[in-house]
Amino acid sequence: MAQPVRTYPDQRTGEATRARILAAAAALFAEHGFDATTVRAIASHAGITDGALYYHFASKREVLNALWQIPPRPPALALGRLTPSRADLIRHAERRFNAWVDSVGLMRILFQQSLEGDRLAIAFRRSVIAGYLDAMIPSFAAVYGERAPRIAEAQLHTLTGLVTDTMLRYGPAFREVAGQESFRRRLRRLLDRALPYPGVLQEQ
Amino acid sequence: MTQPRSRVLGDDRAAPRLATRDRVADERSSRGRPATRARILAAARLLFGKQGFAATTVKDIARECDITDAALYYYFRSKREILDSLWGPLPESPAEEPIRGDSLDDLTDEVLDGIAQREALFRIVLRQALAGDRTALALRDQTMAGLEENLFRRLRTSFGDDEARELADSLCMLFLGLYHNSEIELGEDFAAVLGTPQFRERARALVRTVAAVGVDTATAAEPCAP
Repeated sequence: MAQPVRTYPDQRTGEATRARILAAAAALFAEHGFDATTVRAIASHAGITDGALYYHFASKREVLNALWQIPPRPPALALGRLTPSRADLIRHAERRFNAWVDSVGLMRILFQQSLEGDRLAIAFRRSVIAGYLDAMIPSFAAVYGERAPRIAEAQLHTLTGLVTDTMLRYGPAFREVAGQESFRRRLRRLLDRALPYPGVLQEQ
Repeated sequence: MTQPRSRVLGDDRAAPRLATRDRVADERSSRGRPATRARILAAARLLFGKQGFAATTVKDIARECDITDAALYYYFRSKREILDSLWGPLPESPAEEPIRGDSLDDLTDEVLDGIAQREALFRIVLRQALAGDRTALALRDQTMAGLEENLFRRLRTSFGDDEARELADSLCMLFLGLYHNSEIELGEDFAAVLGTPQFRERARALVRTVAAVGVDTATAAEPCAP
């Protein structure tokens, strides 16, 4: 049988296809898990043949690995004031949380793969967490001084708990639930709680 | 050896079973030697926890407890039936004791003891829940609801009802996040680290941060406004 002639798509089309494959894989892995998703399913979701997918990625594993190579979002802009108010700090964290909601599909696979001990996923998760702490600690330091890392950590765990709990409880309805007013109120209350009043901290 | 009981996360021995699946009375559930049955369950718990449910075969479990797979099928119809038998513990009612100062630290220790005791089981439940297993999802939801309710009942003896309700929710999310982040970060070492004084102290500090014991609402209105 004649070997198919491999045509090399121009770079822009190639990058667009690659991005489509990654988006399709992220959606399917999040919904069905890594093991239950086939290369064929990813290809058909991306609107290409599996042959075309193999042109971009050697294996399903390589597609997954590529997902973790998307650089995490750049750190949020620093708060505009030297000494931020409580409300500023809460809004700051809420914006971060919104970014997690936007990428909940990816968060779910990240969580799943990290629990399985996938080193790349764990490294990526670590960089997301480090990015969060890097963005929050300087803002907290202006108000809480050396207690800033502990407070940022309490906030990080609280948000991690909220994201995983909501993800598992509501599954695909996560985004919808996260947009509801009652959920937003709960989120702000949790963030408010995780942020002690400076006067209280000095007593401890 | 008796393990310390956790009032917050409940105790396996006294717990009722989860009734999300039809538990048709099956002669298998009572036949054979209880010691062998327990050995199979212990081996399955270990292997499911280590390599996951899907990657563990009935043959692996049988080998781990030195019996043939045919002998195992005498006790359990399927791998899934073994998994179902592992599940079921629900939190029991907690003692109603006031929470103040040091006892907030005790509460933290109780929750962590509860996690440590059943860490392997939680790991299996979580993996299955992420894979979409409805029984696991229901069990996870019930465990969380049980933890929150127990925290609430303990906290309301020291705080007002509304305050205790909010604080229970906050602490639940904090414990859950701390648990997941640490479990992923520490991998196989998680269970060992959970009991160390350093980890305990860190967890207590986090809980005290969120609970902000001693908050004076009159003076703490907006103290950090610019």
